[in-house]
Amino acid sequence: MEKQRFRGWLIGGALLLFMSVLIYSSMGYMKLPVKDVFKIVLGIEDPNITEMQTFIVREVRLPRIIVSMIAGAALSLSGLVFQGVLLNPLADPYTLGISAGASFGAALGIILGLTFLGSFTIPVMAFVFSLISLWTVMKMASFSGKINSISLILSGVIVGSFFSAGLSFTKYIAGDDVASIVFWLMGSFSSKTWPEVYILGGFTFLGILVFLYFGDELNILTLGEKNAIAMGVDTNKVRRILLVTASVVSAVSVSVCGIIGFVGLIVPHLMRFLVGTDNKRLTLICTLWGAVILAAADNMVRAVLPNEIPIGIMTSLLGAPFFAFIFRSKLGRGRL
Amino acid sequence: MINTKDIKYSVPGMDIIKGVDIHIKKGKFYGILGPNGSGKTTLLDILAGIIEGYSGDIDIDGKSIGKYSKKELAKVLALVPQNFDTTFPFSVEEVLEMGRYPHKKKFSYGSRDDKKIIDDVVDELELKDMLSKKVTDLSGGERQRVVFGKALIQDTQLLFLDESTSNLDPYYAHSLLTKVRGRVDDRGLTVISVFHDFNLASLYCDEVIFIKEGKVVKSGETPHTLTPENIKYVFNVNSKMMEDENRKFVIPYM
Repeated sequence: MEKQRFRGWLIGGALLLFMSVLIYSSMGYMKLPVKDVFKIVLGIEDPNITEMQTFIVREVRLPRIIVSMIAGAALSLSGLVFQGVLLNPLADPYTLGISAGASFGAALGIILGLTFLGSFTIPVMAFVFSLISLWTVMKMASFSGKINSISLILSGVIVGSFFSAGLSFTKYIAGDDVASIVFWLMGSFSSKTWPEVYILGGFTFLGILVFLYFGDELNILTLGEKNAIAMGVDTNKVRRILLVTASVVSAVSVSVCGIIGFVGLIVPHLMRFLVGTDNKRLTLICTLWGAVILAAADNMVRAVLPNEIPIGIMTSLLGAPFFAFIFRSKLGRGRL
Repeated sequence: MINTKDIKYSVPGMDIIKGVDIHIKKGKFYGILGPNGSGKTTLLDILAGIIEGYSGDIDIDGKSIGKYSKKELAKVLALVPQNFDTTFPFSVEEVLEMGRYPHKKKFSYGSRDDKKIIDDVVDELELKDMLSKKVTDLSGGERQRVVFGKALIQDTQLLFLDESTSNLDPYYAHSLLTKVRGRVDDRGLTVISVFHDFNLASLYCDEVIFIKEGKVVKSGETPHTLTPENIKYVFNVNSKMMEDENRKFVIPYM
């Protein structure tokens, strides 16, 4: 029965994702019929479609929608893996200090006015600093080559607060730049282009492969250290690979899109509720539904609301009450 | 089956295992007995490949334990830890299926043999009614039976039990140990089990190994080794032996 439910949500998610691309591309300041969008996406010639329309769909809307989808998938997957590896239902992609490191890096780039890589300067700064933060956390948490979840979470808190203080300091001395820092921190998919799709997509795709490959191991890890080793899982190795992969996937997403909260925490919980706890299934389901959910949220801020608000605000504003409802009604009672 | 030479293990400030040599023969049931903090669980964890960083040699089936990959080792030995808790609501069936992990290839579904092994254990341990339940909804004792089942499904030649029956009611404790004993007699399974209960050791073990302060102090065949003198020496309690035709019971008292 669970298998059929899984199939249903998988196929449903895939269809919805495909339809979202077409429908969201038709929405916005310039409205377009969905069938025209369909033709533009597939490159079918039609004399009624103007060059302007083609440009807007292909170069403005599609990259933004697809980036929002990949980021949704990346954050959900990374949250899923963190919760499983750290055996902690409160873990999310930012638990190991990725977001604090990225924020500090981006803010530093902004106040120093760095432009050495053109428009990629700030994302690269954010990425580099999130990796520094990840590396520090991993080093701090390992004792004679072994890492456990408590020391990882604690190290994440320590490193995170260090970079948060750094961020506050940069904001304090930023002067007029403080607006751009705050805007970056709140996350956005606006003016995303195809190169960002490829970068984010490439990393996320590799991440999915790694997560699928280690799906069985991730399941077994949740039975606890002793059980996992006695069942033949090299817990240290697997944990490291999964944590680093999940962190890099979320770091790329944060670097490209800024900080988008809540998706990485709630999507895995919702999906577990829908299709069970098996992490191989959840990897596929979180990929699809994370994409569907974040794209829907971004479409809301872009095309439905009269004024665009940052996506990071939207996800938490909608996510928190929604999750509270699910939590109270279904997920409480000692279950996840 | 297992031979160890001078195993020593310490953590900063404390020597836990101080030179242990044991020789485990195939097809026998061994009981490890010792006071709290004597190093029983640590020894079992070292033999199971869970604790590394000890000194000395361990041979399993003529091959040094360090030469086994984690997965190879899990094909040879399974462990039922003292207790088992998880935050994630896997179904009992899913947990049992994980027991086949060391035998499975990546991305393969369970074969017909896997299925048969699982079904047999489910019947044997009376787990049928639990299959679709979430492990997080089970009581401690029920969870323990599931982990026991998972270890049997791993289908190894060696089974390590770490006080695995201490939170089970008498029916399931004896029923599980009887089934394990049956596998020792019928299939040549080798079992090493940490016990706190002298009776269980007396009823099920071929040999007992007494551990005190990180050392083996007495070992040998149960009838000659599990004696009031040895129990007094190791645990500092008195005990009385009672016998019927083919069983010996041990009752400790102060």
